Amino acid sequence: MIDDELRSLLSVNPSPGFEARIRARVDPASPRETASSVGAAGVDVPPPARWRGPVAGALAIAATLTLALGIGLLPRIARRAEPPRTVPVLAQQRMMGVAPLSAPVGAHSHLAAQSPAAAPSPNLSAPHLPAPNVATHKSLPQVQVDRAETLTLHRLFASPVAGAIVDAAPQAAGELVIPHIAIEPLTLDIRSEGAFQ
Amino acid sequence: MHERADFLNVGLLSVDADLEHEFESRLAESSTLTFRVAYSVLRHRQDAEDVAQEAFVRAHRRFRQLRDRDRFRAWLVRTTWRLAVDHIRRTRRRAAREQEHVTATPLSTEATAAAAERAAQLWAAIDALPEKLRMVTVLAAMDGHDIRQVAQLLSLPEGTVKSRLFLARQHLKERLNDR
Repeated sequence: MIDDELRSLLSVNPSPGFEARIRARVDPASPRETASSVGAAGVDVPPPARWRGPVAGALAIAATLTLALGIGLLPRIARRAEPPRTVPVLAQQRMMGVAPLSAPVGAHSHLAAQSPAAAPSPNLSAPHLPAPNVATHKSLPQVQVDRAETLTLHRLFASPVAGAIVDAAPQAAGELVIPHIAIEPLTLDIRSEGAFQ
Repeated sequence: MHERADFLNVGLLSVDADLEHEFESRLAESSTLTFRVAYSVLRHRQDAEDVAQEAFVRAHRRFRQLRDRDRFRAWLVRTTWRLAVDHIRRTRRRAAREQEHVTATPLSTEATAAAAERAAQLWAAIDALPEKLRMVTVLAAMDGHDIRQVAQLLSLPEGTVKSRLFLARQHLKERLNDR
């Protein structure tokens, strides 16, 4: 009953010339869109924008920033890639004046001199020596201290000796760290070499 | 070189001619259906024709992807429905139009008046249906569509169409018996 009523209600036809008007509106020369602009479910999807300027600009900016960042980080990456140099520290212990450490010693250190030849005078008791130059030491290369030497240095530094640690590094958790071994020789009591050994 | 260009042009023109021919046949077999879908939503001849035309214009632009007959009709029905619903939302003149239609209907006899009232009740009951049920009901009552054809037009399983039709009829009966 309802179906029949509804069927009769929907039995309407378009006015004459309806198809002709559609043909008139449909321009055969109008460009047809590609498959990508038609939704899979038949939903009307707007065609993609043809001008891709903003996308290209954004890509160019992103590429430039990435390149600049890469160039900026390159020296740091290269520096990190260098293998750590192990420098014998104990050979220079006579040149160092040390004091009881306020913090645990660590694995990384700065050396005032890389070789005995370049080291300062071993005259540890000279009262005329200049004050420690922290800035100079901060610019020195960082070196890796051999673990066996590190342990020995730890024992040495833990003993009551006179001297001053320049710019002690902060303690790293659970690590045996020697802070800067670039120790300026200060006015010290004359000690026998045995005190260092 | 010119020969090659001519060959390509002829080929392209031939493809376009084929497409136009196919579109013509789709237009002939689907124009009434499209108009009725639009009319079932808009209840206004002129607006329904406008919406149906717009749907065909869009279908023509995408015809390369809609050459398959079933796909074309399904796409056309859904697009027409959406366009008609959008048209109503956009213009919001439906109530005024219906009022105009009711007053313009010639009430020469009692029977005609009763039929018009019944039609208005039926449309009101259909309008009260949820859109999913309404679409299935209208399409099933149109052009002698059976369950399978409605399912094809809406890309739905036949079982879904059956259950929606059942629910829709229940709603319609309840609503029409209340009056």
